[in-house]
This record gives sequence, C-alpha cells and structure tokens, in this order.
Amino acid sequence: MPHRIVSRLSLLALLAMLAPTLSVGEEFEQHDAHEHGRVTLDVALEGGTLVVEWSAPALQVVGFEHAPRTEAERAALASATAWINRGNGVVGVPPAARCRLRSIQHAPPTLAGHRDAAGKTDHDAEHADFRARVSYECAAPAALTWLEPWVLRQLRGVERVEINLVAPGLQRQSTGASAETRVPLR
Amino acid sequence: MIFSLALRSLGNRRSTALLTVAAIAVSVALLLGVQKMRTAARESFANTVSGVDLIVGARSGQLNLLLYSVFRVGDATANVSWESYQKIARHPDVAWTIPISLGDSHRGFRVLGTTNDYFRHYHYAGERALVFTEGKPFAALYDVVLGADVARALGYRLGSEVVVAHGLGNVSFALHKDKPFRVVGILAPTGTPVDRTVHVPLEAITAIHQDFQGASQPAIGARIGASAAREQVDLTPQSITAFMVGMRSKVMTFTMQRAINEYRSEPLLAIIPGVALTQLWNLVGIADTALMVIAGFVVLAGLLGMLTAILTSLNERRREMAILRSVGARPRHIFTLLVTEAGLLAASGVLAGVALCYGLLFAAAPLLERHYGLVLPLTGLSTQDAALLGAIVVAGLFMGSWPAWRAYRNTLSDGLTLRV
Repeated sequence: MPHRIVSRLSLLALLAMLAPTLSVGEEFEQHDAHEHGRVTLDVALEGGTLVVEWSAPALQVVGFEHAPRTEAERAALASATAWINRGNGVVGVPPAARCRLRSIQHAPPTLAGHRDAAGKTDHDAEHADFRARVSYECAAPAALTWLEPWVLRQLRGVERVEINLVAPGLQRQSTGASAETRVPLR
Repeated sequence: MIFSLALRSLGNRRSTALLTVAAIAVSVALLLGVQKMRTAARESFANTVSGVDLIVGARSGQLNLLLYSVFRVGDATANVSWESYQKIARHPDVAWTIPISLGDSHRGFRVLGTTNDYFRHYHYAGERALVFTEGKPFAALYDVVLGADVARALGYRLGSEVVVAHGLGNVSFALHKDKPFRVVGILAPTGTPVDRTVHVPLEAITAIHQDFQGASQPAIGARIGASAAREQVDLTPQSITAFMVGMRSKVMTFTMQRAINEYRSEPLLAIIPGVALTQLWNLVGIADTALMVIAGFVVLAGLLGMLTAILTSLNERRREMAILRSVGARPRHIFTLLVTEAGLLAASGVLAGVALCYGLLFAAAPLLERHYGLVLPLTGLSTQDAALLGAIVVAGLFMGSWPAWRAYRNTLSDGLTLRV
C-alpha cells in the first residue's frame, strides 16, 4: 500500500516533493475520476516559463489499460513512452517566441495485471492515466500569443478536451479544441 | 424626395405608424436588455475576484465551492480543518492565504470571519485592492469592518455596536448579545459581494461560539464574558469554511491544485476561480442562449406586425399610388417609397427601443445593485449590439420589399379609373 502511494506521487517529481509535507498519519484513498476519451491540458505561463501538463487515459494513448499481453501491445507502450520522454510535439507555439524544451517529467501508469515486487497483482489499477509535465523556456515571451494542443495528434478516440490556462491576470478553461485549434494565451 | 414623401405618407397614418414603431421598440428594448444583462452579469461575476490562484474548501463540486466562497451563494457541505489549512499555508510555494469562515449573519448580511490578509490580498476587477473609506483593518478581537452596502443600509458609522446572530436568518433567535462588536472600518463600494459582507476577525467567530459548543447550553462554569473570551480561551479556530491561496509562481498553480486534491489526510478540493467560472458560463450559457432566441423571436414578431400594417394599408392607398403615378412617378418609385417607409418604421423602432432600454436600465440599475449585487454599467452600444440593431433595420427593409413589390405590380395594372 505505501509502495503504491509513493509510486503514484512520484508521477511528478514536484508532487513527490510535496508529498512529505502534505501527508500525515491517518489517510484515506480517493480515486480520481477516470473518464475515457477525456484529455486534460494544464497550461501555466509566467515570464518566459511555459509549463504544459497533460493527462489522458491509457486507452487514448496506447489503446488498452491492462499490462501489455501481446508483442504489439508491448511495442505500442514502448513507442508511446519513448515519444513522451522525447517531449516533442506536445504543443505548438509561435516560432517567434523561441521556446526551448527544458524538462520532461513523466512516469508510466500502473497498468492492471502488473505484478509488484511481492508478486501481488494490483487489482485496483483498472484504470490508468498517462501524465506528463513538459517545461519550456521562451526567449521572447511577448510573442507567445497562442498555443496549439499538438498532443491530440498522438492520442486516439479523444471525445473531450479541457485546456486549463493560468497566466498572470488570466484564468480560463477552453473546451473542444482540436490539434489545430489555436488557444489564445492572452 | 421619396424620403419626404414616405415621411408625409406615414404622418397621414400617424396612429398606425406610431403603434408599429412602439411594437418594434418594445421588442428591440427586450433584445438589447437581455444582451446587456448577460454581459453585465458575466462581467460582474468575472470582476468579483482576481489575483486568487486557488480556492480551497471541503471536497464537493467546483461550482459549489466557488459560489459559496466568493459569491456567498449556497452553503458549504463541510469545513476545512485548521491543521490542513496551516499545512498548506506554510508550504514554500504559497505566497499568501486568506482564511474564510462563514455561517453567521447580521440583520440579513453575511458575517465573514477572516484575517487582515483579506484586506491586503483580496483584489477585484483586475488589479483593484480593497480601500477603506473610513477607519482601518482589525486591531482587536471584537472589531468589525463593514462592506459599503451594509454601512449604508443599516446606517452604521465608525464606533457603532454590532450584534452578530447565529445562523443565516434575517431575524435570528440566537443572538450573540453578550459579545457586541464595534465598527472600526468601512470599505469603499466594489460592486461585488464584499459590499454586502460584515467582516470580523477569525478568532471572533470562535469566541462568539464558545457559548454554543456542545448544545446551546453554556459550558459548565461561568459564562464566558467578552473580556474573558479574549483573555482566557484559546481562540484558534478548529476549522474554517474555505481559504484563498496566492502562489509565489503561477507555474506552480496546477501542481499545488493536484497536491491538494490528492491530499490524503482530509478530503479537500482546490479550484482555480477563473476555470470554475468558465464552467459556470458553460452551464448558464444554455439558458442565456434560450433567452436570446426568445428575444430574437419577439423582434421578429414586431417586424411581422409592421409588415401586416403596411400590407393592410396597401388597398386603401391604391388611390394614393395612382395619383403619384399620374404626376409622373414610375413603378420603381412606388417600390422605393414603400421600402423607405418600412425602413423608416424599423429604424425609428430601433432608436425608440434603444432609448427605452437605456431608460429602463437607468431606472433599474440601483435596484439590481441593491438586491442582487449586479452592477449594470451604462456603457454605450458595443459593436455587437450595433450589428444586431443594424440587422434589424435591414430585416425591416427586406420585409418592406414584399408589400413594395405588390404595390409595384398594382401600379402597373391600375389606372386612374380605379374604383376603390
């Protein structure tokens, strides 16, 4: 049990940093709402720093939510993981903003049927989400006026997209975007 | 030439023309009014809170938390423990927090327990901070700072004594009479729910409830008097209703939000006010659109009334047309005359409608502000409004072309020998 708590929190290095300060003795477990077809993009912008955090059900990323059983499934998982770790094609921004990829934080989801160190099957993880946090540093943030959610090109069966946007003086949610829809950042 | 003819012809049928204009005016006023109210409501809501990165409350729904913490609409399902609040407030990524404790009222106005950070960090309408017209923030336990409307409606001044009631009723039986508050500050009007709020120190909320712990019976031993409550009892609250968070860096907002939503010691919910507000608009948008559609149909009905009035008048005016023809008017002149007439009716209807709408808004604005906290700024017509009104006039012209076409055909066949 504590093993899984830690593995989940370590999804994001920053979350893991928060974990020791934000957890105490008595604990309960609440499961995230998991909705197939729903993709979330959290976009935060301040100064020249652009942080994009996306999450999607494994079904949308690799097409299944169990531990890979066949060769094809293993290959799909490997290629998806490789793509996520490269950090390419997550979002499109105006080239004039001169944004450079700075860091990627990602940990693979726990897929059901996965056996942990003790050989125990993790039945709780019937649903699994991919989540990655990509940071960019932009040399000309004034030119950063829009963003295109290119990550959607890599996902399948997306029915609902929520883009949450936070910047100084701006908080907004846009829905229903496609990979080519420009989301204004102003 | 044709314009003045149209004007005189209409002048000849004054009452019908005026009624037609009135029908269009009422419909246009309705459409414009709906449009104005809709934008005003949105702006009013959007301007209520700014600069707050997260609002944290007990785990319920995003909208529920937003409505009770910011707009004082509805109630909290549960409270946040003081320990959890402290833990998050002390997090290195958090710049400031504003604790909020709701649940009491004073003569129909909500009482909000908070700290002086509220006056320091709460912003509205972009970058505007709260301003004191009189007095200053809390200095002592039983100090109270009033919103502008509260001070005006109840006639309070600095130094007035205020008795807080337990619960939310207008007339409450559980008055905390033994612990009167003293007004130390009055805030400038903001056009937000702050105006209708009675602010007291967080510790004072605990103090006035010391007597109410357990049942409504006082605790064993002496009643806790106003001075004793201040000196002898630990007034750190056990829980608060919600709190607002300002982050050191906006970039950390989502990380903190997720950390709070996945917090395992207590079921908490963190929302980003602007994001929750977008969801509210998505919800309200349906009713909004329905209202606009209804208003649009009312305008259509007004224009159809105009069409009916012109069509029915055609037969009576066959002689008028024949005379015009005899003095040299061509059929196309007759066509233009009738279209101009329709255009004139529609345009004056639109103008009268705009005047009517502004008149009504001007009259209703103080009432709306007092009862619903909805500020209706008397702004000019937006380009969208202007386009809408222009479209109505164009629609009027198009509708006028039908009777004009009929008149055109009549004048081709009718001679001066026509018998009416």
